Amino acid sequence: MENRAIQQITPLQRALGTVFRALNFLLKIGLVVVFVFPFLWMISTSLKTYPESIAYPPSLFFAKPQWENFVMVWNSGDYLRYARNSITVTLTIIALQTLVSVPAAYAFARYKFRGGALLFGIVLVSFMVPTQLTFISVYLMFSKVSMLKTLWPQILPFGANAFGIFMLRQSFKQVPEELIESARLDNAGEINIMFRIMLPMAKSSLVAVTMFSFIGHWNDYFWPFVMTNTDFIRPLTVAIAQLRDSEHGNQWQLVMAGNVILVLPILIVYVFLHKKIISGFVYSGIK
Amino acid sequence: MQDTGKLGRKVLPYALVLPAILFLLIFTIYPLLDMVYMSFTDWKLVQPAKNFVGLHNYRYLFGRSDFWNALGNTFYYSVLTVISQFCAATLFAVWLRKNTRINSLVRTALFTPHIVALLSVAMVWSWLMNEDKGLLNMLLNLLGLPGLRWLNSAETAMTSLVIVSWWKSVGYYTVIIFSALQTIPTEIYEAADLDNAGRFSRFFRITFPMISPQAFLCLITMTIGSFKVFETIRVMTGGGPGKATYVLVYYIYMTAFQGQFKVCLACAAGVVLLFIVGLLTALYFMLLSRKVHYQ
Amino acid sequence: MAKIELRNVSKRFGNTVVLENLNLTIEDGQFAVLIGPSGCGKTTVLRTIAGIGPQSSGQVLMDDQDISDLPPGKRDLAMVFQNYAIYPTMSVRDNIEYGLKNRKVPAPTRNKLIAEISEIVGIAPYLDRKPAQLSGGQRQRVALARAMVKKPKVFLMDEPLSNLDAKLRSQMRVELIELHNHLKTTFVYVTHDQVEAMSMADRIILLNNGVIQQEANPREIYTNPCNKFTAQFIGAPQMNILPLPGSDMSFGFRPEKVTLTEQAPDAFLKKKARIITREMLGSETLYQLRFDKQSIMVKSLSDVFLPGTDVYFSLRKEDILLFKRDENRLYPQEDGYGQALAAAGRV
Repeated sequence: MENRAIQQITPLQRALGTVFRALNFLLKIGLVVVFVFPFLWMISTSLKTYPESIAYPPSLFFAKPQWENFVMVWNSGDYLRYARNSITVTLTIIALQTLVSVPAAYAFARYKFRGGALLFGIVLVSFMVPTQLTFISVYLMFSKVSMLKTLWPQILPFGANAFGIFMLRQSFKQVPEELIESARLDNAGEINIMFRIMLPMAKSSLVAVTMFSFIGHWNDYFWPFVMTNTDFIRPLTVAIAQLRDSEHGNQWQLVMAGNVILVLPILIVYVFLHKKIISGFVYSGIK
Repeated sequence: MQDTGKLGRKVLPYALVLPAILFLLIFTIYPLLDMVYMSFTDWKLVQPAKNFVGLHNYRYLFGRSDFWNALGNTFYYSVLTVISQFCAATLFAVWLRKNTRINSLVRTALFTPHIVALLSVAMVWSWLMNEDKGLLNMLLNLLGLPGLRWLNSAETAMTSLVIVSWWKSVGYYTVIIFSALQTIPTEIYEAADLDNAGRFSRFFRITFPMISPQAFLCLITMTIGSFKVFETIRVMTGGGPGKATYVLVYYIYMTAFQGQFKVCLACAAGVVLLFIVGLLTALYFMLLSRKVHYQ
Repeated sequence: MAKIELRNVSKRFGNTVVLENLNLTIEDGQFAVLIGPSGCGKTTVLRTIAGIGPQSSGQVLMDDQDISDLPPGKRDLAMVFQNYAIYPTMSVRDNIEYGLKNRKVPAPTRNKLIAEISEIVGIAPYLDRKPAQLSGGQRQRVALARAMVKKPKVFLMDEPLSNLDAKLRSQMRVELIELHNHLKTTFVYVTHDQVEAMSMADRIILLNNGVIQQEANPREIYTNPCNKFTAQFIGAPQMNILPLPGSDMSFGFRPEKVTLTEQAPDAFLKKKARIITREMLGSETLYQLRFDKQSIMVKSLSDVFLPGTDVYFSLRKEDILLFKRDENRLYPQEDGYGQALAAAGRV
């Protein structure tokens, strides 16, 4: 940066430089605090007593961790079921998406077939349609076939991941043609080529798509909120949102405890895998 | 396995894409068309008959001040969110550009909210922004300043929501722009040094043009994202105080599933949203194809 | 061991015709090199033999059997690609083994073959590495091993050395010649590098615009080109071609056949010319000469002539080649040869 070597650096400039660097460092630390502190505040509040949580001036820490808060939240509803619903829905979506999207992406990348462009157009259009536009019709559809009391309305609409198909197609397309010709010369059949050559090459984008989908559906609130009106099919997000509307609504230590249950698993994974997670998001964001 | 017959080879691609296409047709394309269709009827959830009423719903919508209010709120929210996110993300990305340990820590911290449920983010910030017991007002008081009303006043509620969405997503866009910066070859800066370029001209003449494809994509994603806002409204303000934070998606939801269950009206509002998103999407793909063309 | 034959092969991509009614026979055990400028169709010929870019019409025969409709995996041939096409997600061993597995070769045989081949090409120590950990030369050897392990009847190679540096390339050239002597299998080798063609081939097939210009052994193709294109394509610097005075024919001669002298010599063709440039190549020297608004290249063992000075250049009768108006050679036994040659001597 300092390429004006011709000029002599005066002591004043040197002092200013030090001050500038120190300020720069402090600002960066400040930024970290702004983005991490709310999570710490969430965790800290969740372990406080009610008086502690509303005390003035606020204390950063609790006198004694109130694990009972978690027990209370957990027992305020059928949380075991909510958690199970969240896990079932998310994992089923991912399994279904992988089964449906990988073959489709493969076909779009590798074969020229009549109508292929039109069908891919459907994928592109779907990719841009927000769920906020489709929920009414989908809701009515499931109500017509009386499936609103099952988990399917939360799963089936995401059976095909348009964004995932798009991403995977890109990475399948990047596999050099010669590699496939070489495999054909090695007497490999189509299925063999798909599993032994193509899928390993698309691994990183498959991982990115899966992670993307997992985080998205685990965190999703809008869709399950509009699709569920029975307690036993609700996922964690909807249940926790209801804490606010319940009798515990002003008991912030309980509301925060509920959110810790939702957020902590993801945060822990993030602490260990943040490099991979960020690069996955970047990979899919730039493409 | 090796000798899939001629017919087999012809059918194979269709068989591979069929499940995906079926899912998309049933759960995305059909509902979209259905929405457009319903927007021309008088259907309500509680009434079985569906009559064609032409543009009546649209005339009704555009004649109502609460719809205009929702539309206006949506635009206000979008403009503020997009501008604040984009400027901050670009600034942060350039600031944190060098690959030092502290910069990578800051980037990781900035990114954290992106992977957390928006619902939880909304809840923490409702707690932080609580007028009586929230930390933000306590901090202001400690500094001797009066507390703000945050979500409880029509003047500040929308801005408070923008702050929350800014905090949630700015890290994501920072990281995207940061990685775009990484692709600029260093030789260009060395050449600029030899040309005695100043800091500002370096940014506006070299850096920004080089990352403009990604920057434009970020802008479009931000805009479309901001039109979809729902969680924060539902959890933090419920559209209030008054109707100060009623946005389009919230309007659609409330019209369809609350009160008189006027699905037809909700669908007409949905078509308006579809139109806006469609316009932005067209722009997105135009830019995307330009970008591909350049490479 | 196999003979390859192409009969009336045509290949079109959309409206562009790449090959039209090409007929070509490559004898069993031959090291055949397909050479030509880029876009001449040489790679297309190779891919047609392999069956990975099927011909639009015509037949491919191997040992007199029509294999036109056989899928590539069943043709009993192996190919080395220009960028090697090594499967990046598999280890070196898996890369070599893949084709064998697909042919259901039993494991003990596979292991024996891999051990044997990797020893021959010198990659035994790297068998468990991933391709990304190998150097360019090592990858080249893996590609070779992968082809060899299948014990194919024919080896197809598409510019396999073009991604290597100059030193490694000349080393691999020698190794490929040795390999061919050792295996005695048919090799079909595509290149645009005439040094590779001249040094390795038993038979050079020169293509231009999808048409075979000449098929001959390296010596024949160099000394006895059948048309102007061949004469100028093979040899560096290229053959000098000058218009024949008083006719629409032309004559040519190789730069190294010219003799330079300070005094007018007694020769069949002699001419005074000005030296324009001098390039020292070490053992030889290249001169550019100009006379009567024409310029020629001369390769000489002598480096004493200086740019700007005048010299005499001379040629023997037998070093002059004549070309007809249609660019084909005018051979000594043809009508008008003596007359044309005499005209060349009067330049």
